Amino acid sequence: MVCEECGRPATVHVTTIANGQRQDHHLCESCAREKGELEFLPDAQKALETWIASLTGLAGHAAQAPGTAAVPDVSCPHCGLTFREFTQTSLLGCPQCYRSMAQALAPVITHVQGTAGHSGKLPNRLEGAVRRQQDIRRLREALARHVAREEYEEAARVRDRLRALEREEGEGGGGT
Amino acid sequence: MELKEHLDRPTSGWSRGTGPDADVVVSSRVRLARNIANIRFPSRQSPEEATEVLTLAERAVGILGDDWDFYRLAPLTAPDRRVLVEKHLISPQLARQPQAAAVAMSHDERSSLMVNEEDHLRLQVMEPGRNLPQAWQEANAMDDRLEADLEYAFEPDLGYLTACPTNLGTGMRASAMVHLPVLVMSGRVGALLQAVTKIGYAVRGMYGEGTDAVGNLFQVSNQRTLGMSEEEIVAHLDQVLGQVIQAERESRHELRNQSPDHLADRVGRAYGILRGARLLTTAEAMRLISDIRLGIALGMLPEIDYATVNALLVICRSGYLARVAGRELPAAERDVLRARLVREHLQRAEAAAGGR
Repeated sequence: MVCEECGRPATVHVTTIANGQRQDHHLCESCAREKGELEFLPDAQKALETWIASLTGLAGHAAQAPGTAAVPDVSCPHCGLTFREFTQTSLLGCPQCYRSMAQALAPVITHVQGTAGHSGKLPNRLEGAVRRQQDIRRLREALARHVAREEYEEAARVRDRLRALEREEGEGGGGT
Repeated sequence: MELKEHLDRPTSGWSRGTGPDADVVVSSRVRLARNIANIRFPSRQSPEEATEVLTLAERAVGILGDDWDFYRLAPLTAPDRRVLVEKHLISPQLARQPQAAAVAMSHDERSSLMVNEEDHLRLQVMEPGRNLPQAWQEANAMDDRLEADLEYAFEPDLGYLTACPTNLGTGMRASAMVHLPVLVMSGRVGALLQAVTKIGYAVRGMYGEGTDAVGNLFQVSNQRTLGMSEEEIVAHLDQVLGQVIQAERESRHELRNQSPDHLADRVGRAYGILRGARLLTTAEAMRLISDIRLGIALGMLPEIDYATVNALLVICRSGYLARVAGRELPAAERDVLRARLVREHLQRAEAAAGGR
């Protein structure tokens, strides 16, 4: 098989499926490289930078239209970082940035990480309290799901567990 | 332990060992990003804050145990910092900003800690072969001990807070270094790695710039760090790794059936050149080292093992060569020294194998 671009032996075979149409391409390594078929996704941070750049580019256009916000004009009172500076480096200034610029950061975090909250390790000092908050959040979501599907028996079971946890939470009990 | 001993030794605890599926997987690594509460991240920190982080980190390392040492990077020469990069103990970024930076490591170099890189702390554990769960367990235990002394920046919903949102949540980057010479040779590597990328994993060449994977070594790692537990991240990446291993093994099997003589010739020639050359550029050395690693995997070179090749990957690099020479060398002199050190290393390995 020869490269469809230059006629040298083809060593790269690419199959793309778009709109249900399968297409096969046969290329030599240098043509494949040129066409970007051998490009690997850059590191996550590079991807984020590119994405933010495209976002601020769009936001720049949006700013032309009256009444639409461009890059959110917020900054962190703890470290002084502006959201605009963040869009240039994709680095935040301090841990408090996540709170003080929460709204502006939300779409960024959703883009790179999805919408699910943290479900990994917790610092030992927070273990009991945070686990309970996470459980409460999950149970509330489950309750809404069961109600929507009219699964009332399940919903009642989840509700009881939720109430018990909320009671603990209200008592401020440091469950361990 | 003196830093000098770490710098003079081209091997590390992980690189001397052999782990599961070593024919394809060179090493497994887990890295955790952590920051100290209420202190600005390194890119925005005042000199006083940078010093405070160094002081806190040094104290915390003290409780990791007697086999840990803490070294500031500022007093080191540029080649010595490069050796730390070449041994995967610090990142190139940390080597470029040594003023307020430090590295701590266990004597066997399996575990290390970067201070004031992009985040205040970056913990890492490296294991030989395919061994991500073990690397995670050790990193987790190390993190527990550090946390007993440090208050980490953490939010219940967002997890561990990191300077870049790409590390948020678990702060965990799990990765494996894989050797894919036959997938590269057969031109199949692009398609495979594209598939791996599509399902949310990052792949990049281990050495060299951009997509140019010198030595056919690639790093596969997770992209998402939030919304999954560490165990899930490790388990998923391990599954992906299983697919990559299978693809490379099938290609090797095919090649061996189709052209066994060509394969044996290629391995034999690579070994011959490394064993006898008087001038070796980095590019040629990396290519030949890849060939002999394949030879070991296929049982064609009983006189050497993976540890021998792992050491060669450090011996060939410019920082290590400058360290041996005691000064930065011009390219031509580097090629002479590189060839000599490789030759001597292989002679020693053969002698050791003969004595077994």
